[in-house]
Amino acid sequence: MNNVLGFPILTLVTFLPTLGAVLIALFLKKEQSKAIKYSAFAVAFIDFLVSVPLWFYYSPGTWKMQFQEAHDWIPSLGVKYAVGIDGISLLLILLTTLLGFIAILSSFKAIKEREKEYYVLLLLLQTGMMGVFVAEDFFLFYVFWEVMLVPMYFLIGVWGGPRKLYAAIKFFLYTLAGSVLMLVAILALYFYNHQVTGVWTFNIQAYHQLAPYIAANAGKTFQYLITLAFFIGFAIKVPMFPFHTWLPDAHVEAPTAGSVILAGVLLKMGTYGFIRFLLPILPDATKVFLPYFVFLAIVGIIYGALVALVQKDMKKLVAYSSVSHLGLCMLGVFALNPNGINGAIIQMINHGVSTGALFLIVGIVYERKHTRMISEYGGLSKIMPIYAVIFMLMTLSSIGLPGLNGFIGEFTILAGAFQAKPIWAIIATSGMVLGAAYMLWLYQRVMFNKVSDENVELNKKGILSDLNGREIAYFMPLVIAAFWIGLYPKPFFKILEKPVNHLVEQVQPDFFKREQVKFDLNKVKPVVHEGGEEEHE
Amino acid sequence: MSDILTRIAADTPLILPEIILVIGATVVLFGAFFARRNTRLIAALTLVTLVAAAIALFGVPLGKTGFFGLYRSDGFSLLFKVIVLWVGILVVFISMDYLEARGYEAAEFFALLLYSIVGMFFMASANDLLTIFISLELMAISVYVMVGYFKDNELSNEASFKYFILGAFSSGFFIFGASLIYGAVGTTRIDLLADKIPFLSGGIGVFATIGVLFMLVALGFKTALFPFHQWAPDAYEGAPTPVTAFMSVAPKAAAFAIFLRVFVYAFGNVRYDWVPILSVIAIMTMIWGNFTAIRQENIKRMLAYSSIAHAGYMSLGIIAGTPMAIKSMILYLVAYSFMNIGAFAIVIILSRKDGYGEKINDFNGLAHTNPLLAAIMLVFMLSLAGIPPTIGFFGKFYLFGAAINSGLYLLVTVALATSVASLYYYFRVVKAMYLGDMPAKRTVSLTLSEKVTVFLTAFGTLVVGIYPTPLFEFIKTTFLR
Repeated sequence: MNNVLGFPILTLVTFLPTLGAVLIALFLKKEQSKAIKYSAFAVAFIDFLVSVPLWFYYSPGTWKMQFQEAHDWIPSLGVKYAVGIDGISLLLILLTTLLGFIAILSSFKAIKEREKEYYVLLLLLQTGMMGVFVAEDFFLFYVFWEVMLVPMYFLIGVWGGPRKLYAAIKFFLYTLAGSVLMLVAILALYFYNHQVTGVWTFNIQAYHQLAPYIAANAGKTFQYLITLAFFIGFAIKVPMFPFHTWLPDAHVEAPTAGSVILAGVLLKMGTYGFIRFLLPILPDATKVFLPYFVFLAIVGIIYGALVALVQKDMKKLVAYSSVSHLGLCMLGVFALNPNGINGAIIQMINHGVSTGALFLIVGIVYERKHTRMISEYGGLSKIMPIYAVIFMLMTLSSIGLPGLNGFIGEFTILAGAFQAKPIWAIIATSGMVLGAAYMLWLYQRVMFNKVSDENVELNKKGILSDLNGREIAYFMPLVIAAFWIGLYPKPFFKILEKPVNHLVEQVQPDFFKREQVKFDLNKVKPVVHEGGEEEHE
Repeated sequence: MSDILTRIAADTPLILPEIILVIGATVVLFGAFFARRNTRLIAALTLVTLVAAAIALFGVPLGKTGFFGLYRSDGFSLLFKVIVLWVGILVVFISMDYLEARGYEAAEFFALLLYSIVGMFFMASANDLLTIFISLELMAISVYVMVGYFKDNELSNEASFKYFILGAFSSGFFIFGASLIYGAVGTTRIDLLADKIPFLSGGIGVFATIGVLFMLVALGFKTALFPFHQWAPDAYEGAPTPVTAFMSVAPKAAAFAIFLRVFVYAFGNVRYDWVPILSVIAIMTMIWGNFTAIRQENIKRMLAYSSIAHAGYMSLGIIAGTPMAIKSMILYLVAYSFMNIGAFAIVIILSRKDGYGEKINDFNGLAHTNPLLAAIMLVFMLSLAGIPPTIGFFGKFYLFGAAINSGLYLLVTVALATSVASLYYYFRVVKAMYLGDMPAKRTVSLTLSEKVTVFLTAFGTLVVGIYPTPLFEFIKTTFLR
């Protein structure tokens, strides 16, 4: 039990949005549109502010969980309300709170009907996502993981586009199918743990400690089945090829804020699951399936990029680009070395920032002209200059231009993949090239060429206008984050160093020893020593 | 002779709750003479009887076998009786106004309800195949009449008739199976059967096996497992909705009690003979129930298929057969009583005399006209689908956990896969309520008893869903007694 802050900060960060949602639901009438918007924003923003001290008080010198809290929940099953974070969850929590208030701010104009329900659901969703990242108990994790589906279902189903009903239920069923498989795996581990240790517990650390025993003693079939159950459960969420088909539907139909949250945070829950559960608990079985997993990740990178290339709808293009980017993240995770995993986590944050921003960017023109067809636009840079600048920045960030965040993540992942198996990195790089192609081509078609008379007319009428203050305000944090990670990623790597190294030790116990020997033999001063940050300086 | 009488007299405290129920039922029945049109008085009398029985129930000594081994009072039976009483109380609340609005007599209805509860009480405690049969019939005959209670309604009559024919048929199976077993083993006592059955010699063993199979068929009928489920959708659709609510939980719970007694205790030593058959039945039940429910347009019919599916989940507990699995089945039944009665209560509140409110489409736009009611229905639907934080999630979690602990991976995978599919049809209701087109404004006002029911069931579904520890502990400690 270590919590330097002395008060249950994680519980506060997690449940503040729920509290806000309940208060809004109880005390505000649905006609008080302004009050609802501003109080929802206030709640989310305060939640962000409350989460900021985590960054400062987090001590990067250990891989151990911090800010822990634990209370009995269902003692007879060994279920606890136990929360705690390490560097990996810390970054994701900050991303969640950041995107949380941005999503609310971005909805002020876009959402016109049933506003109260909308903001209440967004806040509830935030609690669900946060809970997933802070849970230290498998049961608690699962509860949050499932609870979060309900608000998302409604966000897509009520405020979505023309095929919203189909997209909403598809999203729900797909993810639920994955999560029940995960539940079977969790339960199997739970009983196995009891058999071995005689303790009923869902504590994730306990399972981490059990991992070597499982690898040595448990039946192969048992290990393989659990691995596959976890894999499918998380792969649907990520989503990895070929489990990705829910994603384009959900993204295209969801309202802008829904897409931002979906791409920015929800998908990260899948990658987080891989990092937190599959790798450390079943390292050996994972390694058996690794070639197949990597294959799917690489197919995802290329396939996502190729499909993005042919899209006519901007939002669908960004959605498929997510499949590609997440494939890259998974490649980093499956490289099983510090570079790969560090890069994957940084890329998860980057993807949240840049793809979140791209969805907002698409949302801006959609809000104004009610179409997302690329062919309807063109030459927008002439009538919307500020918009053009931000769009450019985010495009470059997404394709990995040095100096912006995407580069750091992609480079580190590719370095890790190269270290693991050069051919992986080589194939994956072609995905980067395609990424540059579809993003720049999108930018070119929307922003350059001749601006159509209709759009000029709309611009004159003030409909297709440039960004207003509120819009600039919610892009600013994302732009700052993009530059910060791009120019000075050291603090991020510092936070990730210990947890990631610990993870690598769990997965490949002899990794660091091996690296040491390799470099000693070659009489080369080790470049990669303990963490992955040195080589970026 | 006098010795027998003293022993019966000495055992009488064991059945005090049943005695109270019988007296109460008879008083209520005679209410037809002294309070013909006073539904409220009759309902109050019924409630008093049920509460008195509940109080008596907790005074009954546990861990005792009485009446020459025919009757057993233990923690297991107590838990089932509590469930049945709880469901009974809720059903009284939801049927009062329903009966009154439709102009049907209350006295006979509530008397039948109480008689059927007496039957279920004996079912939960029966320690002998014959006691089981007689209590089963007492329960079943009362419920047949309740299903056909709306005598002017063709659907109700048809439902009752179908249910009666198939029910009588299955009772025949049961008694025939019991007689075969008696012929082979020489006893009908559950505890003695458990010891004797495995040591049967070849030829006689065949008869006992056929007997076991016949009883499996009979109990499959009573719990509506595939392929013995065909009566259920028609009976559920045609019956007056409060009766549907009642029969979807209480008789099913009692039938599961005897299912457990007969199969886990009496036939537990030959479980490898019947487990494969029941496993196939369970898989088919879950698949059939869930996938057929998807097509239904009538919400009562949909809930009927859903209850078939839930019976399929619960049969996992019988297959696992461990104390943990039995406890988890009891927990599941408690969960089911909350969420299913709650869902039916909302159907009852919305339904009108002309049958409006029974189609899923009739729920369109409920979130606009009655946001609170829609939110509560959402909770019930989430709970039925097993989404946390609801009691239905804990029920499934504990039940499937127990099954995994017994190594039933395939069954649990099927159960979970089909429960994912079940989300689709539960969410058709949610979709209608929240995403459907707005219908013409209609106001639904709740009477006090309806408010009480909805509150109790919703409260239970949510609060136990968030903090299930007290319920867990209660089941655990009672079960051990």
